[in-house]
Amino acid sequence: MREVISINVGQAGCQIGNACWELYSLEHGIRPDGYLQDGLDRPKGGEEGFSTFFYETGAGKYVPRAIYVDLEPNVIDEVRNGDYKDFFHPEQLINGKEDAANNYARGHYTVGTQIIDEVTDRIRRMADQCDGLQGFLFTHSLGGGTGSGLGSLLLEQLAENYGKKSKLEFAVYPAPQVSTSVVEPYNTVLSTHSTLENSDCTFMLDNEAIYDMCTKRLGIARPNFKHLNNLIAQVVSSVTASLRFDGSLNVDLNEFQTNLVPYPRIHFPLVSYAPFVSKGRANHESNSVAEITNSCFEPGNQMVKCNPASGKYMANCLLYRGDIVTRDVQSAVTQVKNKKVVQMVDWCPTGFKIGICYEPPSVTPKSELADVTRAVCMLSNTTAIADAWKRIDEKFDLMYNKRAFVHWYVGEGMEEGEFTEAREDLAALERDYIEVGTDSFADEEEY
Amino acid sequence: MSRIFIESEFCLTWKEFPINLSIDQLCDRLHNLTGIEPIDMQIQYKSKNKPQITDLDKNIVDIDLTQIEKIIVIDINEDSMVNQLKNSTEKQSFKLSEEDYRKKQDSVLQWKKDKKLGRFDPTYQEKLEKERASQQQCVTNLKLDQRCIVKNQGMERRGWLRYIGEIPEINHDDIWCGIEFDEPMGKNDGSIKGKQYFGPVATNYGGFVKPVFVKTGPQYTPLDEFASSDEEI
Repeated sequence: MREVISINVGQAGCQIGNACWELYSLEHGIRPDGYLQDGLDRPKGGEEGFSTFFYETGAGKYVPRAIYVDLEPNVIDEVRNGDYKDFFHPEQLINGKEDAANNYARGHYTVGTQIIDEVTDRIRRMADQCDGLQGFLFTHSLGGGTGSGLGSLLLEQLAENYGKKSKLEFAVYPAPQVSTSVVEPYNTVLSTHSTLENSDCTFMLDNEAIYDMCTKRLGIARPNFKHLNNLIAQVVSSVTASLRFDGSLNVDLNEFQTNLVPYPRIHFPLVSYAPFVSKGRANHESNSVAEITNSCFEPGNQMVKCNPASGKYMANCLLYRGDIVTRDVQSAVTQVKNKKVVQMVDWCPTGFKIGICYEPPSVTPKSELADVTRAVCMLSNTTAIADAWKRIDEKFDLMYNKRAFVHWYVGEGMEEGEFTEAREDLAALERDYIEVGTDSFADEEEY
Repeated sequence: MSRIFIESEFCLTWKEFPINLSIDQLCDRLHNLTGIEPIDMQIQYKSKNKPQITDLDKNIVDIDLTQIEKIIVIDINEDSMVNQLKNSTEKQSFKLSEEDYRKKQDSVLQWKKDKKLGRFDPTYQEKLEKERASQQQCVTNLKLDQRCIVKNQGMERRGWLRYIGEIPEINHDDIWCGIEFDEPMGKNDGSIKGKQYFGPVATNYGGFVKPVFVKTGPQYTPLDEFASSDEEI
């Protein structure tokens, strides 16, 4: 077996976790109480695929291989009291009493260290239940206190305890125009620095990009976090579908890294998804393979706001699901290559990797998304994503030049030197991306 | 929990609050979110289902957070950190020197050196010279200030060829053609990083492309966009 343990940290991480597990349970035919839907005698997805994300108890109940962690009780209490209260084992839901107050240092040092042993212990017990643990899937935000601080602490511990296992992250990255707190740039830079070595592959999700999809593509006038998280869950589900369903082209967790990450530091693929179809427009769209493939190259379908046309690609992964004919995929990819919208780095091996999972996407009853017969998720390692680092680094500098709010961190026992160390690391990362973008013989370059 | 939208200079977000917070506890949380000291806060709020925005009296004992939809926090201290940041005009950013970057063992540069990739590939120079020679070859067929056609990126554009030569602002390896397009289909006004190579022409009427995509000749007259449009049929 090839088990994957999901770890959701902090408010955003846990809420995205909720949306993902709701979708997973639906896709595999499991009710919110953990038992099979009426009429099924085995969960959907095939034994191998299904058991990567769930385990079966003696009583015929199915339990997610997931851990929820938060420093304060409120968000996890909602899980304990919500529709899915019987879905999880109480041991999987861990919270402290005191929150991180949007402070990385509280999540990473003071408050976080009080809970870390308990968390690693629960993870160890869950890992011990696995025959062939593939690795971990992390969900957290980079801007908050718990997600950034405790999240990076936990990743450090996992790297130490499970060095060879894959560690993938879905990280909510600060949006360009909105901000969840004044110190969000600090938390993001500090957290990115301390996870850079410990994560094998990080998929960034920027709330503003996703907000715009809700308003522009789905016609939701005033999207709330539930709308955003439902969309994120749809994307996470597409990325993990090939792991969860026995299919013709199965993907291992470490294949994401193998196919997408040529050099360990350059591990932030841009995620695009198509189609985004609202329930009201479902009947007016054809969503051919060619159409959804092309849509992935439109900025409005990207999870992070950046401009891939100005960057170069190191690798590209197209993960199709649903009613897909291989021939259609081949011609869609050929078409994309002929258009030359994709500028590849030509001095290292790159390419288009295709994944197909024949299980179509599901939608939760309350979702604004329409049921579609096929969808595609594109993961592309492009230098354009460096725009995201540049944006956050500038915000960091504005504050750090005045040493604004630095005392909040030092007051929690963090060395001030960690700020400069982290900032230098991110400057090197920006420089790394420039280095990736040079030396290619790119005819199509235009200025 | 009550979900409330928080708006201040450096914070714009939905946030969940326990409903039993005292005013002081609420101010503490707002402090963490907005960076504004409680003593400097002017707090306004909007109740659910009511359009007006009301000032919050910080001396009241009880506050019903379940009825609040939005809180606006304003910093009334002109010298506060938030106002200093807000009014800051300095754009000084952290600079990593090339020397410090070169010293790093774990970097893309070091990786390229170790694996002989890109310009560290022994055959790179050869490729570069070949590329340059082929660009030279293309350029000999081009005439400056003539009508031209540019075929690349899956499209066809027409205009005037206004510049042929190196552009150190981009790189030192290539020869570039500066084009004044007939339509605003370019990327600039004929300048790169402040240096004017032709024009200035109107914004986005200028652009620089590789010679291989350019052909000159009087036959490349401006396209009449209404004459041969497929979309009209």
